[in-house]
Amino acid sequence: MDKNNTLNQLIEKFQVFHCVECGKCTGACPLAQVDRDFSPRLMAKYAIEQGIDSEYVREKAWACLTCGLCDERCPVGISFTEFIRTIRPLYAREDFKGHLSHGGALHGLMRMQTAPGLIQNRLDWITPDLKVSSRGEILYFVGCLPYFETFFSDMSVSLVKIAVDTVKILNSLGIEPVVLPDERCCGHDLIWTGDGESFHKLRLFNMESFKKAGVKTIITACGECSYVLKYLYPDSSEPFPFEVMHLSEYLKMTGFITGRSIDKIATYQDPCRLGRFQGVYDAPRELLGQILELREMPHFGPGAWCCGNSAWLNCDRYSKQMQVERLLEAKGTQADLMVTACPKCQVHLTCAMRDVNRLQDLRMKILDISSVIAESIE
Amino acid sequence: MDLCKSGHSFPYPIYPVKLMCTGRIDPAMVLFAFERGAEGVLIMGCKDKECRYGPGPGQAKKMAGSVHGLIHILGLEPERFSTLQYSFDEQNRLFEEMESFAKKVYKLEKSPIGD
Repeated sequence: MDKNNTLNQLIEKFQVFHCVECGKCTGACPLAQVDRDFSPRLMAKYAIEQGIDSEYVREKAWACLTCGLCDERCPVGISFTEFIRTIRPLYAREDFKGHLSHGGALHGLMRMQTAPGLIQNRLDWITPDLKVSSRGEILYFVGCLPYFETFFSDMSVSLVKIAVDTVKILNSLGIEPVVLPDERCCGHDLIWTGDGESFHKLRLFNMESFKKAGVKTIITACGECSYVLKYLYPDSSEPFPFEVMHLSEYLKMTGFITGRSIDKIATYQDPCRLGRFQGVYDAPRELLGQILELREMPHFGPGAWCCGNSAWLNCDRYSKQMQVERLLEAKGTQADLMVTACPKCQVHLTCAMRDVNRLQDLRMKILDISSVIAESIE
Repeated sequence: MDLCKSGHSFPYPIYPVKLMCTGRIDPAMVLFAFERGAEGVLIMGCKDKECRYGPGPGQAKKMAGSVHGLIHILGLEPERFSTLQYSFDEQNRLFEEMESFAKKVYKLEKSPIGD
């Protein structure tokens, strides 16, 4: 593969040439604020001027959070995050493939799910009170929650609680969602770390499973899964047979009325993949606003700060610094808890709270929106 | 370890990976071994109180608990992953344990993971 040629094609495709070097991307970028070396503007410039041999692009392409704050601000409409996603495979097979955190364990788990003969045990979280089905029109796509639950069992966060609470909410609407015993990872973290091959294998498995179960609507409680299933699974060569929604979108669409209010103040962390990537800002807020008092952080909505990590890459002091800034913003609202709509935001921000030097001033309860709604309808 | 010098031959294909301490092992290493085609992974190290660094075996035990959980969700048989602690003077027992582990693993069907 002529990598330079491919890079040039991607520069064309995402109109990187249009860059007027205004620097708004770098000004908006949370990573650039803590790592002064990082500059989306310079990446665009060097990609054009130096091509595939640019050391700067090769290194920084892996540091990017792909949070999309730059896309939001770019006056000429360059989709920088998509550009990053599509150039990463050009570097992926080299020795330097970004710093996969946790030794690459999470990516390994996801890649292993491409094995055809795999028979997982991923339904242990389903207790008898939860009503699920193996066939039906409405699917609840769980994602990697069971794996994360085990992997992060030493942290005070329950990720499988998101799955439990989501099913409870759907059950309360009279829905017994399909939960697939052979669900595979949506592939988000693989396609965002340059492994398109594994991503496509996972996609094929999942599409087959969805079709076999008679699924028409897919609901997920993960910002990343909802983005991937909605935008990266459809193939332009044929109509996409499923409707994909994040839980908050589905509940808003069905006119769901939440239950009792909770006497707490909360602040909402917009996940990048739900907010900027899908434009879903209001649905979660409308639901939460019926239950508790919502206060916004200084960076909210389209300007919301990323939770500091993406696709399990580069968990370093810059991630920590961004996470600390974000947690301080949250604490600054005087909220009792932070609510988010993506397990990644929940994990990353909870992890940052373990900073031994700042035990008290960062500690804050973080809940997924599904848990808040489930509590209100109990 | 002097097993190599003692002239023992091991009846099953094994791939030894040497480390200074089992405390260094993380789930990524074990998962990577399975991904690369290992039918089973056995971690062998010092006993809790005999670690020259201190926390190694305890760390390894905690990590192994996590790996057991992950392997269960993946659907791999629990026999495929095991840990073993031994003292420097228990070399013969070591060989028996390794053989018994390998025997159990090779009784299973070929792992669905790994080329």
